[in-house]
Amino acid sequence: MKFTVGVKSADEARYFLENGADELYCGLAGLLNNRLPRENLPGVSGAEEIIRLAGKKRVFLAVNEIVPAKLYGPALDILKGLRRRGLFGVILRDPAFLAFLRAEKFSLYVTLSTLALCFNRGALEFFGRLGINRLVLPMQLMPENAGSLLKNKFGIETEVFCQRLYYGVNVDSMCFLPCPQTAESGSRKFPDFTCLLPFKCRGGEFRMPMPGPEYMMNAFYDFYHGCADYVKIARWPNTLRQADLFHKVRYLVKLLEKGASRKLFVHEGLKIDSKPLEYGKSFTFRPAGPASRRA
Amino acid sequence: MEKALLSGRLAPPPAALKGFTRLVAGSEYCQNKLPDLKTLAALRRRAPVTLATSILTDEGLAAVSALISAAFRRDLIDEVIVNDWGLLQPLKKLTGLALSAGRLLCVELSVAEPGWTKKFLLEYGITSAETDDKKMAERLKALGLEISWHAPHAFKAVTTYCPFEKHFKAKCGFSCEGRALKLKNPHLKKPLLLVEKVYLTPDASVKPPAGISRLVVRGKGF
Repeated sequence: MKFTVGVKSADEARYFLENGADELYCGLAGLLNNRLPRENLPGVSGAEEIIRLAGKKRVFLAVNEIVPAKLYGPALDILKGLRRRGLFGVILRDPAFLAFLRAEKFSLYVTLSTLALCFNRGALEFFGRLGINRLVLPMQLMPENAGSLLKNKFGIETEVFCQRLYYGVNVDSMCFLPCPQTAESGSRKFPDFTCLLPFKCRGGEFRMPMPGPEYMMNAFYDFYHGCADYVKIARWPNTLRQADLFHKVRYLVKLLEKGASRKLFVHEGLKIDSKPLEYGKSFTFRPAGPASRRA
Repeated sequence: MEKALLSGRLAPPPAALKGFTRLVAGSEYCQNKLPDLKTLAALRRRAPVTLATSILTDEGLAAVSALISAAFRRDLIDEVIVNDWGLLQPLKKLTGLALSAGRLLCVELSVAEPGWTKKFLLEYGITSAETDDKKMAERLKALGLEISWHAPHAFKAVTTYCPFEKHFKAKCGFSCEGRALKLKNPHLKKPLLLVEKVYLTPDASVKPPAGISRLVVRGKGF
């Protein structure tokens, strides 16, 4: 299982490459993707620098929102320019834009974003016809329902999250509740964390539920043994938190590589403190600096 | 304008149908909340039936495809609401079955490049769309789609992890049946409503915008 790591800067790229990232991805300001604008690189030169730093390792550009028609031309120009510099692939969600790139005979490796609604073999076949090379499984698709996607007949590679440490309470692209990821003010006040709020309802208190840590550890064990090809460490506003996630997931993958039994793996995984990685605590914008290089 | 009652998995009492000329069975948000053929037959005796479907796992896709195929052959349904890309191909062979893009699929289709979207709609025979959002309704109308307006609750978020039974499985005990949780928190201006696997707000106007073909109302207890 290889590590795909999202980065916001050359500093972060350097750090994660030195610490075992197998490939990187980034986003560009002005080219839509599913992160806060300030998590994107300000210009193409930033992406070029990351490609240069990565050397022979792969770099992807995230354009994982529905792309408006007026951006097709500029997006294609940027992708062509970056491909000349060594960009390996692009992360997409929009079937119309996928079809456009295919019609243009534009041959970058295509990863289908976790935001695309691809929960079954029929959906994979639909996107497969549009030429995808890899699928990032939706965060809410668990190995118990993902067998045909992990071992698909189209040769499409798969990428997963370590859900014990990184999980969306609702289907990511189909949640329109206030969220720190989309809060323009970045206030991080209570209303920005709807999915974490304690609600009152008839019969007592309610919190939007998520599966327990033991289930999640078992899920990651099953993804690994189900032959998921990559694990994703997503871009995050707070670099130290992202580095923390990266090292914790790396530890878990090492356990699996050493042949840990399910029982041992779950036992060890449950000792990991996931608190620092929870939504509310990790959405302070703190980009990479000297501190993160020491992390 | 046609008026439809969202009835879920079970047949509503006859009195609940007063004023409605169509029934929308099933769910746009939970793959488990499917009526069986017997229920669909009972519904069909009262009014034309649309079957709503959700995001699907492999198991859900197989179950939904089989149900649709059997129900359409018996003339129990004449329309399906689709929210999963993977369901479109199996439905292509059912000539004469009307297809409507569901509220989740419309999030994508309403903003994708219109040229591609029109070709896509034509290829799969999608002629209408479900929405509770006025701006989205305008964009969907511009694509040539008939609009079904859902009121009074607007879609806000969906999960595939059942909030009532806490699992991802394609089979369940229907613990959500007849339950709607009103969720309040002082930080939110309006309460959320949890039904099935969806969080809704009371935001969709009961008075639909102009040019709407159908009004879909959620039945009490469904």
